[in-house]
Amino acid sequence: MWQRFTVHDLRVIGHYLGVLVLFFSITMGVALVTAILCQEWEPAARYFCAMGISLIIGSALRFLRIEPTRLSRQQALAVTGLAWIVIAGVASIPLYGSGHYASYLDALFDGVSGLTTTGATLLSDLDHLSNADNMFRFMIHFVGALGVIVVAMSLGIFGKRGGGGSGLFTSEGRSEHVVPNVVQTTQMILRITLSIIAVAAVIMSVFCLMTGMEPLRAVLHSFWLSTSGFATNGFAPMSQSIIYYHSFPVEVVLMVLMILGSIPFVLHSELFRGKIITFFKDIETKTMALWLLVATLVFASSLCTSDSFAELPALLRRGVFMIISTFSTSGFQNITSNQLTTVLSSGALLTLALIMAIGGGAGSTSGGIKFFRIGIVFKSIVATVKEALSPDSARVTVAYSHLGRRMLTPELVKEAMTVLILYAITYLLGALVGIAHGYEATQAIFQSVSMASNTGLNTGIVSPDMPISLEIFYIFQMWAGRLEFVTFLAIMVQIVVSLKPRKRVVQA
Amino acid sequence: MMRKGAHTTCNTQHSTRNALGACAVLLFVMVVFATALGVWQETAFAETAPNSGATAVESTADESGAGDNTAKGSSADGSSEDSKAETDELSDDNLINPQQLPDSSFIYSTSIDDLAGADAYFDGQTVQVVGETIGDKINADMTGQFCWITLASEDTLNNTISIYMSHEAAKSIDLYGRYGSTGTILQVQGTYHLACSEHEGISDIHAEHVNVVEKGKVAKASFDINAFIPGAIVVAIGVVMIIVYGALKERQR
Repeated sequence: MWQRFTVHDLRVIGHYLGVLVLFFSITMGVALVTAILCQEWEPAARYFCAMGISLIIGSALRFLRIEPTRLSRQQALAVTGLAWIVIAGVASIPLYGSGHYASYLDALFDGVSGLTTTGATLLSDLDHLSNADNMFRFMIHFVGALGVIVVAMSLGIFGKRGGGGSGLFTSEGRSEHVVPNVVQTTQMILRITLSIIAVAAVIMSVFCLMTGMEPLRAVLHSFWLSTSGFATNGFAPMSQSIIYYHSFPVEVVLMVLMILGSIPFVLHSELFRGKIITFFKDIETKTMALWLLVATLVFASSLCTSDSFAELPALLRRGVFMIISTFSTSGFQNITSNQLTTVLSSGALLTLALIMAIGGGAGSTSGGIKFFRIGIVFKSIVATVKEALSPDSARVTVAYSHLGRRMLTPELVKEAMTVLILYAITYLLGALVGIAHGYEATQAIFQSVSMASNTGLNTGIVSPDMPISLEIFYIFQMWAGRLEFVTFLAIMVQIVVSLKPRKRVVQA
Repeated sequence: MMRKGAHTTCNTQHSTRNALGACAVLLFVMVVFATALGVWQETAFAETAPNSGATAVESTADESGAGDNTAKGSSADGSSEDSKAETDELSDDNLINPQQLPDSSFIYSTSIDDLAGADAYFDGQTVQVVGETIGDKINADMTGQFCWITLASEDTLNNTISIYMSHEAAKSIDLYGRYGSTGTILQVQGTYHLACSEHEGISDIHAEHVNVVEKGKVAKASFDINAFIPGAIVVAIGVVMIIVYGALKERQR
């Protein structure tokens, strides 16, 4: 029997959403400070106003329940799921005010794209965007990559013990605790992220200065690219994406960042503790290595059929970067959207789509189905074959390595298969919707996978003049992909059930 | 004698330091490798000229800023005296370089928007585009001869193209477009490559003639305290609401 939301549930959910909206106004504060330092007075006034609006909305939501109770699982799911769309709605306010969006829906698309680390953008004239607006966009990516809940918990927004945080943490798609305590886990994730971004930003600043960029632009662009790279988001401060920098060292640093961003945080923790063997024995690492080897061979072969990328330097530089960008679901491009459809063969394009569809590591900043689930599905196949070959009385067990030796269980296989099927259905649905809007099949499939896996690579479909219905569908795809479907579907079902009138029993 | 817990803590810290050290060394090696590879790549593929038939022509804007494009340097066909006579006869409003003679391989009316959706038809063709210079001048190699300029389409503002030109030609750019400024509008004629083999597959134009159409403009908003008044009002309301919430919460306890 499906449970409805009660009025009490709605008030508690509203209260916690208000807390998150209030916390999100800090990112607007960062943009405000950037605007003041860069003497960008119009953005400064706009972000000051947006901060106020965010404070009002957050406070108003908190008034729904003055003293909230501990979150139930149902309420935690709703808070986590709705947080993404509510915060994106608040983030869209200053973005729309920048004048770079044709409509509020376009700004909302970018807000959702940034928070879900997709990276597709409908922003017009990106190259003339202010430093404050760019800083805000990348702050959205930072929050979205780590997770709204993770950042809030690490800063103690839900109290020292995390309030109902454990449920929220799990609902956000994070099933693993880096350390036993949830709040300490979130703090560890934040520390790892900030350390890596800081080091990468310094290194990339040097390379950007060597290319001849102005010092302020070099530093800002390096920080933004480092954030976007580790967050596997793919937003770039220039419309040409990484092509703009014409710098192989910058691309190398970004590739390292993207790989690091697609490694689960729990494995980062193991690496920092010196347990390198654990990292290489992990089921995700082995699946990633095998999958990337196969995908690279197929992609390289299909590129060789094209005259343009058949030469070794082009193959290595463009091909390797695009593979890493797609498997990590970052979405950085060192080839143009036009080249994706014109120069690459349809086979190469679909190979990239498949790489995006699988995605990166579970518990990382990447999207897609995740290596862990693919690894579990293959282990399940091994178990099935073993059972077929064994006598009826035999008890077949299959083990896998993930922070130690573990046994494959039916529940684990069921969860992996369910999410895999949900992803496949969403990819297919999105492709059909794209085709229904008149786009080429290859393009529509590629774009659907790009949206649902939160990659953001664009073949040209995502543009300011795209149909509104397609835009709304892609917003839902990005949102569902970030929540890995189960949370998203749970909320949708609960909303529908809550809105359905109760059955009246008429007594005779 | 240390306790077991402290000993374990020491081992963990030692392992952490080892791991961090290993990561730092690895990162340093990768940086050195990337730098060396970048230097090798740029020196190995440094060009002597973008086109064997002509040199990149440096263009300077005149003092009135009307966008006149007096061409300097030798032209491709060597008829510099005839060109000078022609230039003297032409009016100051003529913004087109008279030395740009059309031929069968020259697509006269191309735009950056056209090139954004270009297919193999445009590959290797001589094109002429007009656009705003944006961003920065990016060094193309360590020799200091050539650089990358990004031109943005004036029509849609969303399409851009990379231009490979000499530093001499780039000197005509007085302002780069970004927030608060409109960059120099350039007219560039050159060879378009859908996937340039000399630059590892990038889409670019190797510039042969570069002319300034319009100088850059600065248009940044000045500080106006009145613009901050609406923000101050809503922030004040928000802060009051937070205080009231806190008071109500205390009262309920």
